[in-house]
Amino acid sequence: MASITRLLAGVLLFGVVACSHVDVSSPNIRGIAFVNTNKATKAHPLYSQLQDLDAAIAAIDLSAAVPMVPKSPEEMKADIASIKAQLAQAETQSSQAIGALQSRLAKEERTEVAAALRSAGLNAAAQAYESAPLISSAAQAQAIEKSAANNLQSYQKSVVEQGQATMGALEKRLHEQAQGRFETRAAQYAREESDLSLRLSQQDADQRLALQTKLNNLALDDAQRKAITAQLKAIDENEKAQVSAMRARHQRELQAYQNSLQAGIMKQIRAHASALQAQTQTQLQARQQQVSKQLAALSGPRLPSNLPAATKAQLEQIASNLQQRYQADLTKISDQFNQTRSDLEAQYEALNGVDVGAVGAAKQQRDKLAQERGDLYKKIQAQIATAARRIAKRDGFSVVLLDPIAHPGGYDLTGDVISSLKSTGT
Amino acid sequence: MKHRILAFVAILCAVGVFIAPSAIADDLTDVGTIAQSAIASLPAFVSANKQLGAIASQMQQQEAAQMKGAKNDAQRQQIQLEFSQRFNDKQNEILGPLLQRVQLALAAVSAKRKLSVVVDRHIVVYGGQDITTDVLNLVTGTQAIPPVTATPPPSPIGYVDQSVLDNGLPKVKAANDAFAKFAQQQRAIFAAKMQKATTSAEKQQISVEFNNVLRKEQDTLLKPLVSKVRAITATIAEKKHLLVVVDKGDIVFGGTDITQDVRNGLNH
Repeated sequence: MASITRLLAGVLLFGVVACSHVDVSSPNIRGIAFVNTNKATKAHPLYSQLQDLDAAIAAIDLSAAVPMVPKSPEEMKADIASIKAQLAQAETQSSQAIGALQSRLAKEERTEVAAALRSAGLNAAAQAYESAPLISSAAQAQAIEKSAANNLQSYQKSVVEQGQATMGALEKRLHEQAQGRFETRAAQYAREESDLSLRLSQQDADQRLALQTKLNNLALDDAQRKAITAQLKAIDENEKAQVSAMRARHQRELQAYQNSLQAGIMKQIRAHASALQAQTQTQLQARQQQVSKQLAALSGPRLPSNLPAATKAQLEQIASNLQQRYQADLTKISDQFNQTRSDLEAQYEALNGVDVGAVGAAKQQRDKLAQERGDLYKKIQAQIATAARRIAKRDGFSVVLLDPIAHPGGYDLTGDVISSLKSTGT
Repeated sequence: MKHRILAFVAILCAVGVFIAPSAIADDLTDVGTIAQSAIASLPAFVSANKQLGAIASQMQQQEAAQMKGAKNDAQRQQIQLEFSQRFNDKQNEILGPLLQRVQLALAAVSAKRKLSVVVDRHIVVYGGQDITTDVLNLVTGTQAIPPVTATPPPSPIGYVDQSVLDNGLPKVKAANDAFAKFAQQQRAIFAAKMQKATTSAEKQQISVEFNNVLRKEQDTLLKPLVSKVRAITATIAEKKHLLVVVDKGDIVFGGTDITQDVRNGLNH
């Protein structure tokens, strides 16, 4: 009898427990549950860490928002110089890193290729390959060739531009000099003409005065008056003719002088151009020879032409792998340089009053904190999701949604999730 | 007698537990999920977005150049509006056909699986039918996707376009603007305090205070409005026999749109 009572009590207890549990299939729930992640996040054991990170990030942001105290011109100059120096250093480091990378990969390629040749029984070729001057990979060689060609091209361009600029400046200077000389000569001629006119006028002054005095005599008849007037006119014309003759001569001389000046300019320009061309040619040839030598050094050791197909494939694989690594490392170096340059540019802009927010070390620190914050937040969210999934599966929900705007129905799992997080730590 | 009563209650509860789920209501099994990020990662979308990025950059430069010539705010606003419109047109031209194909694929897969709603995967932590692969296969296929004539069945999952509520309601907009202005003023005040701080502990304390001040103002200005929006949303959702309401951005297909009802409720 007692056992029947215990059995019934057990069944009743099971029934009561089951009845008191959430009925996931009730019309108001229909298998839907939801979690308020904001609430669950705030209740998470790691939330205080998240808050600390938020505060640290906000502190950097606020520091960046502080209006800058204007700097003195000396301070500005020093800061700009420092930024430029840092940029130059970054460029040098970047170039050195690329050089080191090329050298390292070239060594690795040599070792790997020699090993491949040896494994194919081509010991002599392997030895020749190893003992040849250090080469870079085909991709690197191509890249360097391309870079060298570009450098040569830009050098040619710069030399030609420099020559053109020199010639332009020379031409301008010669024209200015010629113009100055011409103007001096023209002024001298103008003075001579003026002097002649004055001299003639003084020379004829007595005669002109006498004739004019005669002309003032009222007793003169018309014929006499006409004759005196004609004499006066003749004197004027004579003077004018002499001055005109001189002017005409001067004009001819000036024209000839101008022609000779132009010819002189052209002669000088041609002489300079010829010298410059020779100089440019020498410079370009020297550079070309230098580049050719560099490229010749890159051609490195030759591989035997009759390699077995398997070895060829192996060598191609080595080249391909090294090329990939080269590209990947080159990208890293380039990214690093670009990042430094970007920081320095931001600092430069900040110096010039541009609002760029946190920069330099502060920016790096902020980025680091933001990354940590992001990782921690993801971890918390993942733990909330795991707990929600476990409870949903246990209780038989069909769907669990995150953060609905409103929920007249469905079951709020947030409390259960928080309890789970607190009890298990996950 | 006592045993009989106990037995009756126990059997009633036990039976209730076993038959209730099937007898009371059907669980929601017609909820589909999709990883929208997987669609956005399709080469066609990546390429279209790249193209749009280049256009946006070009337009920004043009806009900046035109802005320099603007004499007043009205002209600046006009320029901004024109460029925004031009960009939208370009976006529709480039992304429109792709999005249309995705919608056709979604409709086809949803009809096949008898789904009333498809939501973005990131708001679902458990359950739902993941249709990402099916949709991707259809979208990337070479064949034309025939349109589905039947509309999806009514869903107990509703949605609200919160951006419409945020931007379209004067009260919400005024509260947002007031908060932005307050935040700007406080930033200046706390930035000055920050300048005087020497230790990182002091700086941390100032930023905590700053966040508290902002939170308090947010509670004063925005929380009542948010609560009101939520309450009205809940009331309308209840009237429409919806179980939950999510943001429109999380709904990919189907669902019950109650944005206009909520808007009307707020305006009254």
